Amino acid sequence: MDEALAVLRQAAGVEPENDFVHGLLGRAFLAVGKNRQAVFHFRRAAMLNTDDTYSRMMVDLLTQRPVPAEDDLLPGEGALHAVTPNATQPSSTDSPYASPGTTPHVPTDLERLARQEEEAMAERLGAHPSGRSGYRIRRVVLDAGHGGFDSGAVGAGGLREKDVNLAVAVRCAELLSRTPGLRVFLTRTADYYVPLSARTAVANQYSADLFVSFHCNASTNREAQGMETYSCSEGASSKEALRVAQFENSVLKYDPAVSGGGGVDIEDLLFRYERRRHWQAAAMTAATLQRTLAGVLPFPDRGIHAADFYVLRKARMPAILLETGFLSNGAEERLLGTPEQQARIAVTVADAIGRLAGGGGL
Amino acid sequence: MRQLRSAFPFLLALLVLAIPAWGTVQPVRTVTSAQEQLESRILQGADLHYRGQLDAARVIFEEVVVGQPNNEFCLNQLALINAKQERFEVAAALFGRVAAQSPDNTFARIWLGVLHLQRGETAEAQARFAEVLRVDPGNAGACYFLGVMAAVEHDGVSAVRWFRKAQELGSDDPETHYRLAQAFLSMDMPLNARLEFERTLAINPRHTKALHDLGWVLYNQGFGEEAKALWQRVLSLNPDDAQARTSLAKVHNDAAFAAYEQGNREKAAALWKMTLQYEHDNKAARYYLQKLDRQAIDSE
Ligand SMILES: [Zn+2]
Repeated sequence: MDEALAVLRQAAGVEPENDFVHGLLGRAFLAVGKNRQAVFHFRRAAMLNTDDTYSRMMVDLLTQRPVPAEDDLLPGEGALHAVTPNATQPSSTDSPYASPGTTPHVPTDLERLARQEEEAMAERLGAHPSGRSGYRIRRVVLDAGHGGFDSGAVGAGGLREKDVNLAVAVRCAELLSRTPGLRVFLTRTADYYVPLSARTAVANQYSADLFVSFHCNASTNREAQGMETYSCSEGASSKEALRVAQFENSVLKYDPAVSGGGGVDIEDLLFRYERRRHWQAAAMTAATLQRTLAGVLPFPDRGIHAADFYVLRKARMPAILLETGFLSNGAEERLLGTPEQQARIAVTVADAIGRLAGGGGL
Repeated sequence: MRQLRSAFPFLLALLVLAIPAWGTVQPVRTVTSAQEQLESRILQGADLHYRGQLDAARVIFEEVVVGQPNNEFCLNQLALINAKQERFEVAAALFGRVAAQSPDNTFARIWLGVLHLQRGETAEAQARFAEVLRVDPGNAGACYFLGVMAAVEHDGVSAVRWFRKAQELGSDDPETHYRLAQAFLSMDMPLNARLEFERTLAINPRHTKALHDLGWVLYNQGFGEEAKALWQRVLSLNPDDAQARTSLAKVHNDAAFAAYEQGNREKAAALWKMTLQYEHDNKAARYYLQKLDRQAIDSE
C-alpha cells in the first residue's frame, strides 16, 4: 500500500488537476487509516469533478467528527476545510496552502496598506477596549423623507413634509456628528428627490449600523394627532400601520419573494437569522426613541408600530421610521413649522441615538 | 457517479473496513450482497441529495435509517435534507439523536447550533458552537458561525477574530473571506475589507455579493468607474440582481442630478436614460427626463 501511495502522490504532483488521481489517493489514504489526508484528496477530487459523488460523500462522512492530524502530511494535505486548489490564488496570500518551492510572497501595495490599517486599529482598540455586549452602533444614516418634486404630506397652512423632514434630519446629523466614535450620513442634504431604492443604497454603501427615516404624518381625519415610530416586520401590526406604510411606499412595485428550488441552504438560514435580529434591534430602537420623544414633545404618544416599509425592509441593518406629527392637524402643523419644534425633535432623537450607541442595551 | 461505478466494490470494502462512523456496519472482510445493496442505496441517496433532488433523497434515507437506526451519516443526511426543506423540527430531532448517541459528532452539533439561530435562540446556538470547539478545538466551522453571530451584532472586533481563527484552522471558504471583509467594513477598515473581498473573488469570481460590496468600497475610495464595472459584472452574471441595479441606478442618478445642477442638460439626460436602464421605475429619472423634454419643447 505504501508503494501505491508513493506512486499516486507522485502522480498527483505531476497532475495536480487530475480528479481521478485525487480520488484514488483519498481511497488509498483511507485504507491505511490516514483520514486527514484522505479528506484532503477526496475534497480535491470532488471539487475538480462535481459528478464525483463518492468523493464528496466521503468528505461528508469523514468530517462528521474531528479528524486527527497525522505527522507525514505533505504541504496542504493538513487543510481540512474547503481548500481551493483550482482557484487562482489571490496574488495576496501568504497562505499555508502555497505549494512548496514557490517563490516567497511579496506583499502588494494593498496588502501593505491593509497591514498598516490593521496596526492602527489594534492600537486604537488597545487604547479604548470595548467590553460591552449587544448590538453595536457606530455608523448612522439619517434619511429625510421625500424631497424635490415629492413634497410628501402638505398641511392646510402650506407646510410641506419634505421641508420639515430635511430640517430635522440635518440638525440631528449636526448634533450626532459631535458624538465621539459615531459617523453620520444623510441620504439627502437639500431639496431634491431621492428614490426610495437610493436611500437604502446609501445605508448599504456606508455599512450603516442604524437607519433612521424622518417623516410627518397626514390623515383625512383632521383630529388625528401625535407622533409614532415604526420598525419593519413582515406584516403590519395594525390597519393604521398598514395605511401609513402604503402611503410612504407610495406606488412602488415589490420584488417577488425570494424562493429557491433546491431548498434553503445554510446561508439562507443565516440571512433570516440576521434579518430577524435586525428587526428585533430596530423594534427596541423604535421603543427607545418613541419613549424619549413622547417624554419631551407636546404631541400625544401614538406608540410604536411595525409594518412593511420599503425603506426599512431593504436596509441590511436595523431601520426605523419616525412620524413626528400630523401635518393634517392644524395645531401640529403650526408647531412642526417652527425652528424650535424642529430643533427639539432633532436634539431628542440625537440624544437617544447617542445613548444607544454609547451604552448598548439593544 | 460515473467514474465511481467501476471501482465500486473495492471502495465499499474499504469503506466498511475503515470507518467506524458508518455505524452498525461491522468490519467484515467479505462484502455480502445485502451490504452492497445498502451501501449502494446510501450512495444513491447522497447523489440525489447533492443534485438537489431532496424528496427522492429523503425517501431513501428515511428507508435506510429504519434498518440502520444508529447510522450517524444517514441520520445526518436525513436531518440536513429536512432542514433544507424547512422541516426544522424534524431536522433538529434527527441531529439531536446523533448528538445524543455520539459525543464527538461535531457536524450534528454545528447544525443544532444553526437551527437554534434560525429560531433566534442565540444563547443556545452559542453554547452548541462552544461545545463543538471543546470537542474539536480545530473546528473552523464553529469559529465561522461564532463570527457570524458577532457580525450580526455588528461587533466587528469579535467577528474579525473568529473569522481569522476559522481561516487559521484551514477554512479558505469564500464565505469566510466575504464575511471577514464585511466585518472589516463595520470597523471602518476599508483596505482590509477590499483585500478580503478580492480574496473572496479569487476563490469564486462569480461571488456576486462580494463583487457588489467591493464596488461600494472602491466607489467610496474614489474609484467610480471601477465600481460601476464591478456592478456591471454582477448583472452579467445575474441580470436580476436588485442590489447591483439599485447601486448603478443610484450613482447614475446622482451624476445626472449633478450635471443638471451645473446646467449640462444633455449629459444629465443621457445619465438619466442610463438610470432607467437599471431601474425602470426610477421616479427621479422619469420626472427629470419629462421635465427636460418639456423644457426642450418650450424653448423651441
Ligand atoms: Zn412621509
